[in-house]
Amino acid sequence: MNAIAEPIALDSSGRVELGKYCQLALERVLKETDGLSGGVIASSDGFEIAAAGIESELRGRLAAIIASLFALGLTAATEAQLGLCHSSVIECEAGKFVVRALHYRDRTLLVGLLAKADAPMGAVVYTSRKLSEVLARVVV
Amino acid sequence: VTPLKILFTGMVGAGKTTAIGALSEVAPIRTEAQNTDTSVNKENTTVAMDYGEFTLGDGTKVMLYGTPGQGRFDFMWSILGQGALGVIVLINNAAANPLEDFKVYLNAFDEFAARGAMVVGVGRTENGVGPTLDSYYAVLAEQGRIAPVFSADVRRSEHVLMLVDALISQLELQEEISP
Repeated sequence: MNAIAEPIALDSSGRVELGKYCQLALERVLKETDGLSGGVIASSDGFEIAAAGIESELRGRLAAIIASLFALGLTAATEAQLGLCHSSVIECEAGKFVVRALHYRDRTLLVGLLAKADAPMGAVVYTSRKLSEVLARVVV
Repeated sequence: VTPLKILFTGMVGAGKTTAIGALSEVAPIRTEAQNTDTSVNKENTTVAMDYGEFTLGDGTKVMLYGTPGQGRFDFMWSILGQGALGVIVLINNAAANPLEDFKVYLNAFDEFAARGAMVVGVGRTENGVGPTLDSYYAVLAEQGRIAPVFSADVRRSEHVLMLVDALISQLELQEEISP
């Protein structure tokens, strides 16, 4: 697994633009990590912030789906008294889908990664965590 | 006794979460996230579902499910609709286009309307602003559907109970007509 380098996107005033930063970070992680096929970064209420490797008509829909998915994981964790939920994992016949939350200030950013069936689950989860850490440098 | 499943749907801010909270005998399950949509004046919004329970006089448990309101979550509408006996559509009558909003949910849940398993609860009617209840009946008639329409303040449990009672009466009537 390659290390995830930090992408930089600055607006005209020199500040980091969240959407561009997320887009660059996501594109880089997809390029540098074997087994990943796509990803989406969304707000916790289901709006797309960045997406790559996913058909354009599916991007907004997937952003909403990961918001629902993560909210259900969060609720399941609360009901079972398991504490704060960090990620949800779906293992499917033809691939894997990992959703990881980045809690910052009073908000939550969601990172969804799609992986091929033969991608090791541990590597996909690890990559989602590393990507969240890269994003945390900007938003936290 | 087999529990009944009833679905609450309707636009953002119509009061679905509030209605379930007003009637539920158990602590409601909520899946709310911070709202980042500046066109909607709400701090939090439901992104997956609400859930509550209450018990009818004969001991039958009623499971109350609430949908997210936004169209981008319409995949949850069909998931939550599975196995539901009926649907209660909540409308914010003070919204910009409540009749158009109603049409969205009437079409999305037409399967329920077609078999007489829909009740409409119209909120925020007290100031006389917005369409009359007859306007909602007109929309239903345009679509060839019949459903009871009530003015309801879903913060009041007796109003929510009225909607649920009306729906159950509708379902019993349908059962008698076509057992």
